[in-house]
Amino acid sequence: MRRARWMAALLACSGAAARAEKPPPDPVLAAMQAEVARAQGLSLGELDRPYYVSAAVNRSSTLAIAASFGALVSARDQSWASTEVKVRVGSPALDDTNFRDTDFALEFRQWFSPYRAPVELDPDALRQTLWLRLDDAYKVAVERIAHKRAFLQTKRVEALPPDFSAARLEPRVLPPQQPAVEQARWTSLVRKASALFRDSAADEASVRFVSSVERRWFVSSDGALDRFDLPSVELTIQASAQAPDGMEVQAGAEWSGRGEGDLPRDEAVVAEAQRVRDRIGQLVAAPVMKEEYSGPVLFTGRAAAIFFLKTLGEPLSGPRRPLGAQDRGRLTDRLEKHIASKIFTVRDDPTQERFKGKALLGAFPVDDEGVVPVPLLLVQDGVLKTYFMSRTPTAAIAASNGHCRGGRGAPGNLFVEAAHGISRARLKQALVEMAKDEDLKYGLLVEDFQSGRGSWRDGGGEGGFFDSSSSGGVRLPVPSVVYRVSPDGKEELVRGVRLKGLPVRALKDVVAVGADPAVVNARSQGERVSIVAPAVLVKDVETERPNPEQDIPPQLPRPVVAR
Amino acid sequence: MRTLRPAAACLALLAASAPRSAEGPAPADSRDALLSALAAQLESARARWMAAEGTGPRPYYVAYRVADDTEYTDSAGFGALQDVVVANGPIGDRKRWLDVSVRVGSPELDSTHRLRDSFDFDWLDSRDDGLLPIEDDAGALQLAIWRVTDGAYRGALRRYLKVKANREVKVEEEDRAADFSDEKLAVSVGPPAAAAVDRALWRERLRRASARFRDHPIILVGEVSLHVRTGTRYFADTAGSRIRQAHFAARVAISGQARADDGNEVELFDSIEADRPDGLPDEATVAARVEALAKRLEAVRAAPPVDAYSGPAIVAGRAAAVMFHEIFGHRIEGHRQKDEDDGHTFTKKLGQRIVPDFISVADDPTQRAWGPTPLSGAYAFDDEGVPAQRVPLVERGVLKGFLMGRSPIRGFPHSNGHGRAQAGRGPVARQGNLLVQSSQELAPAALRERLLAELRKRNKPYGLIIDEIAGGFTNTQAGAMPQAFKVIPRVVTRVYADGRKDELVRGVDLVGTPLSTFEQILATGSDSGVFNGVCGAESGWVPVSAVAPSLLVGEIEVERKGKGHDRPPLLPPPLFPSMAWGPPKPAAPPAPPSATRDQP
Repeated sequence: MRRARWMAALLACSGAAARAEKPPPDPVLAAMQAEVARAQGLSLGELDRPYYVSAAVNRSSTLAIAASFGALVSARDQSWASTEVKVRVGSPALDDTNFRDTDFALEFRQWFSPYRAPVELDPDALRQTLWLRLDDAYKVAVERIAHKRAFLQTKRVEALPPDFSAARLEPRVLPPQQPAVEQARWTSLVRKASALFRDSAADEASVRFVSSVERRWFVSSDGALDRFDLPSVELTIQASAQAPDGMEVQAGAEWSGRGEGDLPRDEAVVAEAQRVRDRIGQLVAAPVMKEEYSGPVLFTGRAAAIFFLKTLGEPLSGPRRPLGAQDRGRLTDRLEKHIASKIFTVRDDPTQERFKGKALLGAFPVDDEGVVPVPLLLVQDGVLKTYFMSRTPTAAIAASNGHCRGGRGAPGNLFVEAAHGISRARLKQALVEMAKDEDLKYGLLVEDFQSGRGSWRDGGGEGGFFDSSSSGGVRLPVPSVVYRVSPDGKEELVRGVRLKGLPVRALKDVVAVGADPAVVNARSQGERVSIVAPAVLVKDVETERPNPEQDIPPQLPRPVVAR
Repeated sequence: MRTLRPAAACLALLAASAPRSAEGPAPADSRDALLSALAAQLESARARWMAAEGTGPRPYYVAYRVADDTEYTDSAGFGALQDVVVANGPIGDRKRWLDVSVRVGSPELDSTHRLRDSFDFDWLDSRDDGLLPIEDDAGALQLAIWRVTDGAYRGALRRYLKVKANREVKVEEEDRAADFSDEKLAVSVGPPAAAAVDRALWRERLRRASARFRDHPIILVGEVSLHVRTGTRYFADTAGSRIRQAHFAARVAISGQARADDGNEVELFDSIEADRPDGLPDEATVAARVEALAKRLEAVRAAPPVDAYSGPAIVAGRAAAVMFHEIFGHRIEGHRQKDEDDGHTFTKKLGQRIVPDFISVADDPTQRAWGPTPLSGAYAFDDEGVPAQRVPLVERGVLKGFLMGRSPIRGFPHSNGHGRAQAGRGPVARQGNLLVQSSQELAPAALRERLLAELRKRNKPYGLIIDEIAGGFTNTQAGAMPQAFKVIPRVVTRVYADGRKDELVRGVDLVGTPLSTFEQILATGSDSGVFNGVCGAESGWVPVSAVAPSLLVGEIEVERKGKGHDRPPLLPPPLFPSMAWGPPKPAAPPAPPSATRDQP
């Protein structure tokens, strides 16, 4: 019945879709093409006409199962969809974009539409939504270009690169990917793993399984016609406890991949949950690092990957400064200059789906503008060679390199490589020697950062509300696993460590990198990214003293519950 | 600001066992894992804080509320499901939410006392949410309840210390009533919820019903949705109350949106409530209501916009009900009478006449329906464990009482079962089913005659009939904002004194101040209207109903609505691509003026 209606609709709109070489096999693409084609005819008197129209539809289907202390808290299998449209008016040399309008009503309308997207992508219902949104986008665009021209007539502007670049676009309709999920297995595993915490020190403990498929459709008036799936699975363990002095401590573990096969076997998950449980116990008993520290820090594992994402991946994103926005001076202004220590090289390659067997979720077949991603050499021997480009040119780089994500150039799979990486033991040795040179009793080793929510007083966890890169510097999340390494190599777990913001120069302070890279899947500004990075030893990092105020311990006895 | 809207949930009770009150602590129901877990933690709190010796401020009362709800909205627009589609309902839509009330201090002065001149962001310090496991695992439940209780205790202790300081620093309060009333404990363990709706069947109905909007080119957005909230509510406290009650409420909502050529957005809304699954309408009824709404939307869109007006009007039943909810209902909520920042419209009018003597008003959550229409504001126990009661508020025009939760005011030391809150908020006195009745009911034709007579008497060319309303809001606080109300009508008809045909108009809001509007009620009709909706105030959104007869008001004020400025879509609708689509083309820019008229 549903299929019949879709097919009927397909026939009905075949007139509008006739511009395509041959009708696409997907009724959603056909509906999008029809409305994109119609929208090219939008006009209002003598005002600018559209020269580029695009529409994107994203539909996510997600199964999320979460358990706490051995019982399910939620188990939800849901789908939702969103549409995004773009109408550019004027010409590629000067259009309505790359402009920070002072008119917030227009800015707001550009990002928030009152028209809801159907989740069931019935072509007629979808066309109704696209019609209304494209109409709205056109009206906003003609007003914005007028505002931009008014700005340009009253301000002296140094350089004005074109607003949009041409790109070679080829249709990419890829076969669907619907990995099978054994729901019963994961339901019982999240129960079992979270039950380990029942008689632990943890006051919160949850284990969560998420399997998701995001399907993206994209159509543009200059030839893009794409459909592809981005499947993913994630399994996370998170626990927190209150130390006797009131300080909250966190520990966790996570795995991710494209399908069930990328996740560990049940016994391995349970063993890791046991380790997280032990870690919570150790953290509760660990000493607090009360003094401020300024000296060498060795970032390993996930912490090293996040270090490179925050100091390099994110600052090389969104290189075009919109007219009217503040000019703060950015890393992207320093093309062909030394921005980092000569000992490492950085690439980004979204076409690489795996690294040593591990799934890289930052991979994508085409970017948000329908451009096939190009592998990039970002930093060679410390020199900045290029940065993440969408179809929005900068003064230095004209063309897209297929890295448009969420509307701006952004990382996909970031690879940090060193020709002469050294072992963990030697890195530790270097750390304590540097510490000794500075008359420090120990050096710091950061293994992981807090993920998820943190206390608002601490600025939130990674990706938390207050976690934003401050101007001119970089803010790292709150570390969750930190060791003091004394001259004899002894590692002492400490808690309460927070890092001060790092200067942009921090990359030049990298004195050594490891040999064995970690593979980390994370999110950056709402998009999935992967980082493949070795441990990194940074010469000078400062810490803050721990928050001096802490909640009093629980007044009621913890319920005694058997495992 | 209190607001009322129809487009969301309503709540009614299903088969809750007859409430029975008992003295003495109640044994926990050993068959209910959740009630047992709540009882175990209450016992732990009692032993630590209430039974043991100690000094310093400490909790004297702890209560738990759990909303174990399965709640969802399936919504279809133009024939397709939209928003979020859940594939594994009902477990996918189920949540258990715990609210903990810890009272530190004593009933005379405790941590819930109002802080004057305060703008406190203390809640930012709390990291606890009240999500409980949905499985009946005693250990996991107890650990979660323990953690949330601890957070609530710290917040309550901090607040109590602030309350004490605030009380010392500020001038004495006018109403020094206690903070917490002593009530009989209630034990009522009813059967847990069992009712369910055939979701797949309804999804197909929603698709088909909303697809009907496709036949109406001027309708930009056409949606039909089904909202269902069902589940079990739990209440348990350290005094020994134990309540378990099942509930079920559903609403089919129909909405359509168009844009007039002058830029005004025109929206219409219709809904059908049910308090049990087989009370939902059949497909033909929904289809007919969609068609009727679409036709009305076309008519309203084409109607002329109206200017500001003041004069006689008939406010039809449903609109009158909303008006009473805003003007009157919010102002007789008990806790406002001792809130020193409130306008206290009626605080000192007890025993005085406030409306014409043919009008009486009561609030009665125990009334489950009005004729065939279920009332959304019905419940058996409020959110503070007190049985619902019918409260006479106005008798023959004279103010008799207030709506009370467990926060006493001068002269009213007890609750009358109106302490209400949404999950996640602390209860305050709220309306349930506000019922307005009249001893002088005129048939609709007679009421219309009275309107025409008023027009002639006042020499007005026309009057208004205010029919459908979208909702309303009111401000009861004293301060810079006027203590006025606004009711947002959607269908307004102009009635001419000279006998011309009635004319539909659009784009007006009904405004006024409470006391003067009441004085202008001249007559009432025999046709009562029921408004079912949700009402938002400081304790969150709660389902409410209001029932009132049509009112003839001698002097009513309508103001021009704030207007949209966007042109209707430039291209014809995708389903009517070759239709003559007539947004007026922009006029050629006028020649620059050579002189203005003001110049000499």
